[in-house]
Amino acid sequence: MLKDLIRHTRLAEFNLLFLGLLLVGMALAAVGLFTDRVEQSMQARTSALLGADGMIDSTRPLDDAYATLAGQFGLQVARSVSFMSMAITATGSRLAGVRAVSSNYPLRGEVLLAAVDGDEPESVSVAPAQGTVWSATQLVIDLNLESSPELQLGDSFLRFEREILLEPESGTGMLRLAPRLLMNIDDLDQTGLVTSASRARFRLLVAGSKESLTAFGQAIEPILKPYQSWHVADLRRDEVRNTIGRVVSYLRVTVLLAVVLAIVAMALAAQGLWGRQIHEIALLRCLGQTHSQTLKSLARVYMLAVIPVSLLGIGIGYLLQHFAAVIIQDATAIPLPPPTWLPVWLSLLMCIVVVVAVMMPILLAVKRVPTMTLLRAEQIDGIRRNRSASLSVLALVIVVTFFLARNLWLAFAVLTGLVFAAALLWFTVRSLIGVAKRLVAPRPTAWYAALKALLSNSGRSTWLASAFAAIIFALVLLGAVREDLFEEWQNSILPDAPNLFLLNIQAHETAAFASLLNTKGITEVKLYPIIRGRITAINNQKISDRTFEDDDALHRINHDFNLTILAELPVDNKIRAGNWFKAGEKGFSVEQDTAKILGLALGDRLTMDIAGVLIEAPVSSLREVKWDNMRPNFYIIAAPGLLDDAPRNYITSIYVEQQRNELVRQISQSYPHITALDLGMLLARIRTLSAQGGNAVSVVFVFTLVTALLVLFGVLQGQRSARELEIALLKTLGAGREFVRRAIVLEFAFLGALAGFIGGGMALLSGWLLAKYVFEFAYSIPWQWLVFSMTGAVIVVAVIGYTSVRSLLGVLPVRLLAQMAMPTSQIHPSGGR
Amino acid sequence: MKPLKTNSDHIVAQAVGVGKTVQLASDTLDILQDISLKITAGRTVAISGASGSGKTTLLGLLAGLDQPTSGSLTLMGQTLNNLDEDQRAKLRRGRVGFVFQSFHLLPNLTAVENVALALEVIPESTAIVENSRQALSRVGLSERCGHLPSQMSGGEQQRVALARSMVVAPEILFADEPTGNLDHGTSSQIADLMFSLCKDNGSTLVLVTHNRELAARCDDQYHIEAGRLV
Ligand SMILES: Nc1ncnc2c1ncn2[C@@H]1O[C@H](COP(=O)(O)OP(=O)(O)O)[C@@H](O)[C@H]1O
Ligand SMILES: [Mg+2]
Repeated sequence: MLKDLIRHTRLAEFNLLFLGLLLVGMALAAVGLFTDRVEQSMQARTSALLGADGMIDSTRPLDDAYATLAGQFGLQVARSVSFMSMAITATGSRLAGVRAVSSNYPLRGEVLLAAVDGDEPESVSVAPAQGTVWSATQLVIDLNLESSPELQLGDSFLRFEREILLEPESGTGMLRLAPRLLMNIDDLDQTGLVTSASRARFRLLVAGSKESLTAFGQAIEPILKPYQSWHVADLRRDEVRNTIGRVVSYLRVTVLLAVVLAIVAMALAAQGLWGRQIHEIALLRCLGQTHSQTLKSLARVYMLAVIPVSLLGIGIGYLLQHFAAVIIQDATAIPLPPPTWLPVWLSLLMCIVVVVAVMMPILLAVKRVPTMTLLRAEQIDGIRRNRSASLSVLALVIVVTFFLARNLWLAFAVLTGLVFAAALLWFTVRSLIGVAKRLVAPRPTAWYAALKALLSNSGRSTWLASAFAAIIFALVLLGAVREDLFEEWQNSILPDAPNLFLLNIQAHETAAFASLLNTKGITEVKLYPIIRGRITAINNQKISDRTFEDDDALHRINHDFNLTILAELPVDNKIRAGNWFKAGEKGFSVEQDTAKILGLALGDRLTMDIAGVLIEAPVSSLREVKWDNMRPNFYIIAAPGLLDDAPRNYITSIYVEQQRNELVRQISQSYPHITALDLGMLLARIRTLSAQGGNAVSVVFVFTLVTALLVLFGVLQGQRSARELEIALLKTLGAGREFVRRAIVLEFAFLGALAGFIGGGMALLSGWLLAKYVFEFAYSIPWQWLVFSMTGAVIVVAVIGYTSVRSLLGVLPVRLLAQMAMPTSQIHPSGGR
Repeated sequence: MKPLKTNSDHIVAQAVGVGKTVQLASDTLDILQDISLKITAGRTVAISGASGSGKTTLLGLLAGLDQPTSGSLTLMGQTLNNLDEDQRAKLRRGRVGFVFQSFHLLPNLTAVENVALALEVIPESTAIVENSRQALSRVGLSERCGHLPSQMSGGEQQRVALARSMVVAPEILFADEPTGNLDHGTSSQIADLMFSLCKDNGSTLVLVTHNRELAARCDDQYHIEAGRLV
C-alpha cells in the first residue's frame, strides 16, 4: 500500500493535488485558530471594558436583593459607587471622579497600574486596600501625589499608593471622564460623601455564563425602578474591537481566495490524474482486476495520503498563527487566549470534505472506464470530461465560502465577486478572440502563429489567462493596493489623530487658552461649546406624561445631554433624514439611534431645558454618527443662534506630537479646572494593531500567490501534451526552431497583457470594495497600476510560459508524430485541443 | 502458477457468427458481421486488414474486453456471453497477455514496476520482483529495470510491455499492431522477440496487423475486409 503511494508520488498531478490539500489545511487552520483566539479575546475584552459582563446602574443606592438574586443565578457580583468629589492634599485640590469598589473589582478585565521602580506595568483585578487610593496620572501630576501622598476625601484621609494607567469603564464615554480616583468601598461610609440624596452612580457588576446573564436580565427587568437600568456590554464604541474585527474579516476573505484557488488547482490536478489513471485502470482491467478491487486500491492510496497531509498542513497553520499571535501580543499587549481544538477538527474535516468532493466523482467514474479504452484511444476524450466533477467542485467552493466567511452577506458578496470575476474573464477572453479572429488575416509570421495558437485554443487560453490573472491579482494586491489600503486606512481611522482631549474650558478663557496652544505650535484649535440641557417636552407633550418602555430611553431622558452648536456638519457624520441647518434656521439635529430610542421623528418639536430657560425648536435632521472616530461626538446638535445665551464651556481635541505630558502639566497648572484626557496610549495601540493587521494580510497574500502558482502549474502541466503536438506539427510543416520559439513567447506575451489587464483591474476593484465595505473609508483607485500590471505581466508571463515549454522545443518531430497516434496519458483541463 | 499445458488441437478461442453493431447519433454502424473462427492452442494467428476494417474490434471481442452484439464467443473453454465484466476480468487474470500499439506503460512506474503490475493483480503471486526482473532480462533489458518509460526509446518501451505480458506465461497473447509505432528496424526486432517468447512459453499468439510481411510469419492467417472475414 505504501508502495502504491510512493508510486503515485511520481505523478506530478498527484503531488499537485496534495500540495493543494496541504495549503488548504494550512490556510484553514491558521485562519481558524487565529480568529478563534481573537474572538475569545474580544469577548473577554468587551466585558473588560465594563469590568463585568453586565451591570445594574442606579442613581440611588441599590437594594441588596439584587446581589442575592444574581448569586442565585450563579453570577459573580461586585459593586462600585462613583461620584465627583474634591481631592485635597497639601499641594492643592482637584475635582476627581471617585470610584469606590468592592475588593473583587473588576470582575472582568484588569486595572493597569504604572510601573513601580522601573518594573513592568502591572495588571491587577483587585480593589485598593482599605485606607489607600489609586489615582489616574493626571491627579498624580496635579496634586503631586508622589511626594505628598496623604489625601483628604470628605471626612477621611487616605494614602495614595499606585498610579492607574488604564481601568475598566474608562474606554467609553469620553466626555464624562474626570481623572479617576479608585478607593475601597469599605472606606466609603467614613468619607461621609455619599448619602442617599447625593448625586452618585451605584452599580452592581455581574459576571457569569451568557445564559445566566440573560436569565438574570429577564428576571430583574420587571422589578427595576425607573432610576435603575440594566446594561450588557455595548461594543459599538470600542475602537480596538472594531479595528480587529475589520482585520479579521479581511483575513477571512483573503484566505478564502487562497483556498478557492487551491481547490481549483486540486481540481485541475484531479482531472489530470484521472486522465492518467484511465489507462492504469483499463490496463489493470485487461490484466484481470475487478471494479471493486480497482476502486478499493485507489481509495486506499488517497486515504493514506489525506490524513497525514492534512495534519501536516494544519500543523504548519498552527505554527503560523502562533507566530502571528506572538507578534501581535508583543506589539499591542492585547492578550490572546490559547486556541480551542474546534478549529483543528473543523479544518481536518474540511480537508477531508475537499478531497472527497474533488476525487469522489472521479473515483465513481471508474466503473465507466471500458477496457477497450486501451485499444481505442479516441474513446478517452469522452470519458475524460467529467461534468459531475465540475459540479462537485462548484458545490465545494460554495461550502468553503460559507465556512470561511461565516457571515451570509460576506459569503454572498464573495461568491458574487468570484462569479463576476470568472464571467468577466471568460467574456473578455472570448470577445477579444472573436474580434481578433475577424481582424487578423493569415500571414506567415510568428505573430500570426502566436495569435492563432491563442485564438484556436480558446479553452486553454481562458485557463491560462485565468491562472496568470490570479497571480497578477495577488501580486498587485500585495505590491500596491495593500500598502495604499493600509496607509489610507490608518489615516482614516485617525485622520488628524487627536490624542488629547481637553474638557471644561471656560468661555472667558478660550482666547487665552487657544494662544497657549498656539505657542506650542498647535494652530487649528476647534473648540466645541458644551451646553447641558434636558429634554422636557416632545411636541408640547410633557416628557413626564410620556411613558418609555426602554431602559435606555429612561436613562437618557433622566439625564442631561451635552449639546453643542455647530454651523457645519462634523466630519464622519452623515445626514440620514432631513437637511443640515440652513443659514438662520432654528432646529436640532439628533443622532438617529437616540431619536429612535426616544421615539423622535423628523419635524417633531423638541423642548429643552437649558439652565432653566425653555428652548423649543423642531428636529430638522437625523444623523448617523461614527462613534469610533476619536473625535468629540454629540447626540444633539443645536443650530447656530438657537442657544446663544446659554451658559457653556468648551471642549477640544488636539494632536500633540511631542512632550504631551509637559503640555498636560502646564495646562493643569494654569487652568486647574480643565481636564486633559490623554488618548495617546489607546491610539498607539490601534496604530500598532492596524500595522500588524497589514503584516498578517501580507502573509495571506503570499498564500494566495502560492496557490495561484499552483493553479498555473496545474494548467501548464495539463497542456503540455497538446503543445507538444502543436510544436511537432509546426516543425513537420517546416517551421524552424526560432520561429516556434518566437511564436510561443508572443503567445504568452499576449496572454500576459490580458492577464495583467484583468488581474490588475480586479485587484484595484477589490481594493476599492474592501476600502468601502470592510474598512469603511473612501479610497481613490490608483489607475496607473493597471498600466504597470499589464507591462509587468507581459514580461513575467512570457518568461514563465516560455520556460515551461522550452523543453518541448528540442523534441524531434518524428518522435512526436509517432506519439500522435497514441493517446498520451496527459490531459488538458479544458479539453481544448 | 501456470495451469496445465493444453494439447495441440485444443481450441483456446472461438467465435461463432459474431457481429458488432454500434449505435451512432443518426444511424447504426455494423463494424463486424458474421465472424466465425477457431484459434488452436500453441499456434500463431494473424488477423490482417486495412485500417478501419474492424481488426481491433475483433481482438477486443476475442479477448473478452468487449461484448458482441450477436453471435457467441468462447475463451479458454468459457462462453463469454454469459459472463459480466468482472467475471471476464477474473478469467483473463494470469492467462491472457496483451501488447498494444502504444505500449501503455504507466509513466510513473519504472520498468520493473510496470512488469510487476501484471503479477500484482493475481492474488497468489509470489516472488514478484524476481520474476519481473527475470522477464526483463529475457527481453534484454536487465540493465534498465529502474528506468521510467520517459527515459526509454519506443522499442525499449515495447520490450517492457512484452515482458509485462509474458511474465505471467499467458496461454494467449493478444497483440494489436505491436510494431505500429516503431521504425522498420526496431519493428522486426520486436516481432522476433515476440515470436520467440511465445514459442518458449507455448503461448498462442493472436496478432492484429495491417503489415502483410508480419502477418506472413504466422501459422494461420485471417484477412478482414469491411467487417467480414475473407
Ligand atoms: N465505439 C465505436 N463507435 C463508433 N465507431 C466505432 C466504434 N468502435 C469502432 N468504430 C469504428 O469501427 C471501424 C473499425 O474499427 P477498428 O476495429 O478500430 O478498425 P481497425 O483496428 O481495423 O483499424 C472504424 O471505422 C471505427 O471508427
Ligand atoms: Mg486498430
